[in-house]
Amino acid sequence: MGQEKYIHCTINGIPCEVVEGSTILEAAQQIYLKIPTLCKHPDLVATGACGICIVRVKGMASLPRACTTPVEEGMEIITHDEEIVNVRKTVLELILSTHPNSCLTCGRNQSCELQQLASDFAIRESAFAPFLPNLPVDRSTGSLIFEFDKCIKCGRCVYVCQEMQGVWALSFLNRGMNTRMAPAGDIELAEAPCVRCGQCSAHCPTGAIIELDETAEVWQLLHNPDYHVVVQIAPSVRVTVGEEFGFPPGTNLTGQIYAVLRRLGFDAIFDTNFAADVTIMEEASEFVERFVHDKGILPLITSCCPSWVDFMEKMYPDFIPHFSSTKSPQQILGVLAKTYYSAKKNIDPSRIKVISIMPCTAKKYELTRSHEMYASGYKDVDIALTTRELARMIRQSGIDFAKLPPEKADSILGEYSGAGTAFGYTGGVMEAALRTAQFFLTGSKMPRLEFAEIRGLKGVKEASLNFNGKEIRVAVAHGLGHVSDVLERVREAKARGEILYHFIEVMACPGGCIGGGGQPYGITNEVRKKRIEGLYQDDRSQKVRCSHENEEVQELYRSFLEKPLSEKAHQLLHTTYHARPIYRR
Amino acid sequence: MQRIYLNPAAVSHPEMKKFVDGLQVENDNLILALHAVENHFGYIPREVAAFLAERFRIPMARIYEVITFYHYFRTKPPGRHLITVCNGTTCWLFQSEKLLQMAHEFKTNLPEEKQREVSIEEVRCIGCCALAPLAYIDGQLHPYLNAEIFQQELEKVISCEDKA
Amino acid sequence: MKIRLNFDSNAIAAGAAYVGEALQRELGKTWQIIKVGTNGLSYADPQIEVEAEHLPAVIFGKLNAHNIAYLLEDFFQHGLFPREEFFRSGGCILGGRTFMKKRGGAITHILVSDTSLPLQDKNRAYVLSLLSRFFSPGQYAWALDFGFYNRGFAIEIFPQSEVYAGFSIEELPELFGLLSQGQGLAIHKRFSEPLQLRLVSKNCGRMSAESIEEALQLGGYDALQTSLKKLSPEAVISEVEKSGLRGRGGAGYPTALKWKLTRQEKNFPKYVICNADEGDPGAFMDRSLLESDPHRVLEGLILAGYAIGAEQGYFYIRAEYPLATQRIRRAVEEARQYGFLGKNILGSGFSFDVKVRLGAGAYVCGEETALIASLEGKRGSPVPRPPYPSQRGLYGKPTCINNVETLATIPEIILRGGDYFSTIGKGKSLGTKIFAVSGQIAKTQLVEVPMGMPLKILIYDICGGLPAGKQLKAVQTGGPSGGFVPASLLDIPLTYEDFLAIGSIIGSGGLIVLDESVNLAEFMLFYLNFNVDESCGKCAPCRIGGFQLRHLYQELLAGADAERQIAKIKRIAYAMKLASLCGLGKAACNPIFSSLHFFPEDYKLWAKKNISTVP
Ligand SMILES: Cc1cc2nc3c(=O)[nH]c(=O)nc-3n(C[C@H](O)[C@H](O)[C@H](O)COP(=O)(O)O)c2cc1C
Ligand code: SF4
Ligand code: SF4
Ligand code: SF4
Ligand code: SF4
Ligand code: SF4
Ligand code: SF4
Ligand code: SF4
Ligand code: FES
Ligand code: FES
Repeated sequence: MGQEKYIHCTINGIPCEVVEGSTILEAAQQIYLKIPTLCKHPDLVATGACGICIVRVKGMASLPRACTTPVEEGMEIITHDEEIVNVRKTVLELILSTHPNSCLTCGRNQSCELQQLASDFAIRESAFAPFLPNLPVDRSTGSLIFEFDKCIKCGRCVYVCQEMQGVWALSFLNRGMNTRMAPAGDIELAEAPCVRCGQCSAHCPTGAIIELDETAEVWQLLHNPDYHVVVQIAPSVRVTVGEEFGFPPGTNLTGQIYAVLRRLGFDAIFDTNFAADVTIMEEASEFVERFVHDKGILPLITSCCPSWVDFMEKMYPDFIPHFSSTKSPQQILGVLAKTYYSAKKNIDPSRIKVISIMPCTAKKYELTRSHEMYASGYKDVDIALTTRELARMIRQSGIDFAKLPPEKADSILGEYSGAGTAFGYTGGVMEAALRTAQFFLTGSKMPRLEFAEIRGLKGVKEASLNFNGKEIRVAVAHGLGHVSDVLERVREAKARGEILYHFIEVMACPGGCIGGGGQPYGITNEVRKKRIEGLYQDDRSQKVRCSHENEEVQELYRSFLEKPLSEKAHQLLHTTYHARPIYRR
Repeated sequence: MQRIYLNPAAVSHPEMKKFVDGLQVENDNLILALHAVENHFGYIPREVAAFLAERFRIPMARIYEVITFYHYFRTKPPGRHLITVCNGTTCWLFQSEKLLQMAHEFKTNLPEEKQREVSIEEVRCIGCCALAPLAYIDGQLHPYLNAEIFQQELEKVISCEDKA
Repeated sequence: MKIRLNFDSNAIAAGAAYVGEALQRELGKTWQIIKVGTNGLSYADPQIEVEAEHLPAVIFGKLNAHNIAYLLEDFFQHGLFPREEFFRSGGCILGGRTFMKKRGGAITHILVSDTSLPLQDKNRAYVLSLLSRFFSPGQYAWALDFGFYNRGFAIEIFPQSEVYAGFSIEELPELFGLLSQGQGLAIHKRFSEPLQLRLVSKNCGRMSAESIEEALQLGGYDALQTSLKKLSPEAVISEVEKSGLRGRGGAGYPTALKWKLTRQEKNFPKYVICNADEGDPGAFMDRSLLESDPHRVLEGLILAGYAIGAEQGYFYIRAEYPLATQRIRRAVEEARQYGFLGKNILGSGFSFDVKVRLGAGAYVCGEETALIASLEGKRGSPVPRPPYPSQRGLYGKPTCINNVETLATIPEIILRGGDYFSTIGKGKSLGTKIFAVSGQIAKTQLVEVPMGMPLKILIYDICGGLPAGKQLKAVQTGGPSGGFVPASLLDIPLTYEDFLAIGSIIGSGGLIVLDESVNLAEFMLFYLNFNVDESCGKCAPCRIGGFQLRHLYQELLAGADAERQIAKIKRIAYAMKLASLCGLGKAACNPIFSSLHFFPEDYKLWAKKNISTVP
C-alpha cells in the first residue's frame, strides 16, 4: 500500500480530513453524518441513479451527488439546507408516484430503505399522479420473487448480477420510464442464466426482489401431528440471525436457536455442521483418491454451493469432471435423516419432514436439483428457509428468543466439529478439508488447523502448502465474478498439460455463506468480517476441530456407511452434474 | 474473460450463423454489427443475438440491453410496410402529429391481416427541416407533406401491392 | 462551364437526383455537373448554381419535373432567363450569391427583387412590366432572394454580377432607363455590406463533397500541413486559445482548455471524438458540414488529435444521417490514400487514424459520457462526472470530444491565425457561428454570422422574416435544453452570455421561429414528449420528473387549474434541474421556466377555454 494522501474540507462548517479519493458521502460518515442515499450500496460502485444524496459545494453551480463526487482540497460542503431537503423530498415523491406503496403486504415492510426514507422525510400525501406499469410478477425461479412494480431502478441488482456475480441474468432493458431490470428479452428469470444466489435480493433496497417466503408451509407441517418435523441450521445462520433482533453481526446464538426451534415445535433439532463434517469425510477422501491414487482429475473443486454448481453446469460444463461428487451438507443431512435417523429411531421416513434454515435462496432450488436429491426415496429435504424467514417465524411466535437459555442439538445428527462451522465463511470448506486431508495423507494427529493464506475477503486467495514434502496448491474464490479468472487460468494450464491447483473452493456469495442472499439485510464488508469472526470463534471454541474426529460422524460410518466413498455412501451422499443450457429460451 | 454464450436453439439456424460469421464489422463495435443485422433481417432475431454474443464474447444480456435501449433496433420483425414520420420540432410545428394520427387511423382502417403488415414509427428530426413536415413510406422520403398528399401516398402503398 | 447541384440530404429529399439526371442527360456533354453538399439555402432545393462565361451566375431553385424543361430550353439553350411558366410551376431565381469573377461589358441580364418582405410579391407584376419597357424578354427576371432583406428594391446586373440595393419603387423607372442605356449606377450607393461571414462554411456548396482533390484546391489540409511542419502541438493549442473558440456543441466550453486538460494527462493511448450526433430537433448545421465539406471536419479532428497527442480518432454519427456517414467514410478513405491519415503523416512522425461509428437513435448519446458508452457498444447511459472524459473517457483513457462545427473551425483558425478569429464577435463569444433557422421563417436555411450579431438581423435581414401574414411570437433556441427569445427581446446579440442572461442558451445553433399561432404550453408538451422519449431512464429525477411534468401539462391543456399545475410544474422542474445526473434532465426545465417567464398567459388560456366549453 502506498502512502495515503490526506486532504481537507469542511462539511456544514465542521473541518474534516479524509484520504484523497474519498467521496463526500464517505467524508460525511467520518464526522458521524448520514447523507440520505437510495441507490448507493457500500458494496457497489456508485452510479448516481437516485439523486437523493445531492449536496451543495461552494462555487459549484449545480448540486453534486455525495456518493459519486470525490472530495477536493478546500471544499466547503453543505449537506442539509432548505433547498437541498426540498429537492430530496421532491425526488422521493416522484419515486413514490411510480411505486405501489403497499408496505403492509410487502416482503420488505420495516426493512425497506425506501419506506425508511419516506418515513424520515415525513411524506404524508401522494404529491403526484400515481403511475404503475403493472408488470407481471416473476416467480419462475422458485427461490426469488421479482415484483417489477416495486422496482425503483436503482440498478443495484443489475450491478450485483453482472459485475459481482458475473452471471448477467439481469440487465437493464428499454429506456426512460420503460426501463426495467429483467433478463435478456421477454423471458422469465428461470429461463435466463440466473443461479438463484439471491445476491440481487440482498442488495435491493426495496421489496422488488425478495426470497420466496415458505414459512406458512413450515407452520402447516409443524401443526400437523402426523409428521415428525426435523430441522437443521446451516453454519452461518448461528452468527447472523441475531442481527434481526438487534444483536451486533457475528453474535453467536447457536444454543438460543436450538432452543427457539424446539419451542417452535420441531421434533428434532439437527445441525448442518454435522453434515458438513460428513461432507468433509467424503470430499477429503475424494481428494486423496485423486491426489494420491490418480483416480480422477485435478484440481478437485468444491460443490457444496448450489449457485456455484448451477453456474458451472451452465457456463463451464467442461469442468464437470473436476467437481467433487459429494453432496452439500444440507442434502446430506436430509438424506441421513430419512435413512439413518429414521432407521435408528424407527420412524417411517414418509412421516419425517426435513426443514433447513439456510443463508441462501439457492438452497431452495437445490432441493429438487436432480433425482439424486431424492436418494432416500423421498424428497430428502422438504423445505429450505432462509435466515430472514426464520427470523419472521420467531417473531410470529412471539418468543423472546435471545433471552432463552441455550440448549443442545439432538443426537444423532447434531454434534459438530469446528471444521463443520468453517463451512460458513470463504475458505472454510477448504480449511476443513485440509484439516482432514492432512490426517488422511500423513496420519498426523496434530494437523495445522488455520490457514490465514486463504482467509479474508480478497476475491481470489491462493496458497501453496506443504504436507510431508508434498506440495498442495489451492485456490479459494468467492463471489462468482471472481471465478472466471481462476477457471480461465486453470483451463490454460490444462491446455499446457499442467495442474495449476490441486484443490479449489468456490462460494457464490462474497464472503461465503455468511454473506448469503438469504441473510439479514445490510450486508457490507464490515458486517461480513464480523460474521466471519463469529464463526472463527465458534470454530476455536469447539473441543473437536476436525471432521474426522466428530464422534457422531464416526458412529455414522461405523454403524451405517462403513467408510467414506463406500457403495452406500455413493448411493446416498454423492451426486452427478450435467451441462445445462444458459438460456432456456 | 467472458464465457461463450451459445444458445443451443440457434444451432438450427445455420444461415443466421453464416451471416454473423460473415459480418464485415471491425470486431470492436457491437452497434455497427447490430445495424448490419437489422438492415439484413429488418430486426435482431434472438438467434442472431446469441451468435453475436458468441462472436463478440459478451453476455447475451449485454446485447439485449443495447437493442432495447436504442430506438433503431427492433426485437420483432416490422411489418412489410414501414411508415416513419418525422416528429422533430419543425415537423411538429407543421403538423407532424396529425400525420402520425393519420397513419395510425389508416392502419386501423385496414383489414385485420393487413394491419400486421404496417409498422408506424417516429423519428426525431432527420435534419431536413426545410422540407417539413416529412415522412418515409417504405424507404421513400416525402417532403412538404400535407394531409391530402400523405393520404394519397399511404393508399398507393397498399394498392401497389394489391396489384402484385 | 459548371453547374453546381446541391446534393445533400435535404436537396435529395427535395428531388435533386431527378434534377441531376435531367441535367446530365441534356447538358452532360458540355457542362460539368458537380454534386455539391449544400450552399445553405435549403428552402430552395433542389437548386443549381450556374458558372459560365456567357451566362449570368445565378441560382435556380425549387426545380422540379415541370419547370426544369423551361429552364433547359430558355436558359441553357437560348441564354435567357426562363419564361413565366417556370416561375408559375414553382421555380425561382436567387441572386447575389456567386463566386464568379466580376466582369465588365454591356448589361445582358438583370435581376430585381423587393427585399422588403412581406411586400415582396405585391409589386412583382408592376416591376416586371416596367422592366419590359427597357429590356427584352428573357433579359430580366424577378429574384426571390439576394441574401438580405429590408433594403428596399435590389438589382443585380450581369455580366458584372454586381448587386445594388436600397431603391424605392419610385426610383425604379429612372434606374431601369439608365441601366438600359448602360449607365446610371454611379449615382446610387452600392450595397456592399455582407451580412453573413462564411469562414467555416465557406466551401459548403462550392465543391463536390466526394472529392478530396476539390477540397485540396480550396485549401483543404493546408492547415494540417502547416501545423505538422511549423507548429508544435502546444502551438496549435495556443493558436486555438488565442482565437477564443468555444465549443459549438452547446455548452460553449473553451476548446483550448479542453485540449490542454486532455493533453496534460499522462495516460496513453488517448482518443479524440467528433461528436456528430446532432440530436437537437430542428438543427442541421452539423449535417450540412459533414455532407458538404467532410474533409474540413476530418482535418479538424486530425488537428485535435495532433494537439492532444492522440493517435486514434472517432466519428460518432447519428444513424439518421446516412449520407453524412457515407461522405465521412469516403473522406476518411481518401485522406488515408493521400497520406493525411495513417502512420507518420506527411513525414512528421505523427500517426493518426480514424474510425467511423454510428449512433442508433438516442438523443442522450450526444452527451459525452453516454456517447463514450455507446462507442464502447453499450447502452447510452451517462455516468457521473468526475472523472471527466479528459481524465477517463473511451476505454478508460483520456478522451477529448468535440462537436463537428468546433472541429470544422480549427483549420480556419490555424490558417488565419487565432488573433484574426478573435477580432470577430463580442465579449467572450468570438468568431463566427453557424445557425440553422427553421420553423415559421420565410427562408429556412443555414447561415454563418459573426457572433454578437443581433438576432433580429439574422431573422429579418438574412432569412426574410416570417412568411406573409405571420406575426413573430418567439424564437426557440438551444433545442429542448434551451429557451425562448420573445419578439420583444429580438435585438439580443447572439452571444453565449446574453442568451444565458435571459434564461436561454445559444446551444448548438438551431433557431426555430414561432409565430403567434403557437401556444407555448402546448409547445412544452411537445418537448416533454421528447424528453420522456429520450430520457435514458437511469436517474429518478429525469425519468419520473419528465413523465410527471408531461402529465401535468396534459392536465393543464385539458383545463386543470393553472395555478396548481404551475406550482407542481415548478417544483418538479426545479428538482430535475438540481438532481438530474446529466444535461438532458438538468436542462429540461430551461424551456419550462423560459416559457413561464415570458408567456404566462399561454398557461392560463387553457383553464379559461375549458370553463367556457363546459356547459
Ligand atoms: C443530452 C445532451 C445532448 C447533446 N447532444 C449533442 C450533440 O448532438 N452534438 C454535440 O456536438 N454536442 C451535444 N451535446 C454536448 C456534448 O455533450 C458536448 O458538450 C460537446 O460535444 C462538446 O463539444 P464542443 O466542446 O466542441 O462543443 C449534448 C449534451 C447533452 C447533455
Ligand atoms: S418496497 Fe418498501 S416502500 Fe415499497 S411497498 Fe415494499 S416496503 Fe413499502
Ligand atoms: S402505518 Fe399507517 S397505513 Fe400502515 S398499517 Fe399503520 S396505520 Fe395503516
Ligand atoms: S439470484 Fe443471483 S444470478 Fe439470479 S438474478 Fe439474482 S444475482 Fe443474478
Ligand atoms: S430490483 Fe431492487 S435492486 Fe434492482 S433496480 Fe429495482 S429496486 Fe434496485
Ligand atoms: S456452504 Fe452452503 S452447503 Fe455448506 S453449510 Fe453453508 S449453506 Fe450449507
Ligand atoms: S455461498 Fe452459501 S449462501 Fe451463497 S449461494 Fe452458495 S451456498 Fe448459498
Ligand atoms: S438526466 Fe435523464 S438522460 Fe441524464 S442520466 Fe438521468 S435519466 Fe438519463
Ligand atoms: S445515493 Fe447518490 S445518487 Fe443515489
Ligand atoms: S424536424 Fe423533421 S426534419 Fe427536422
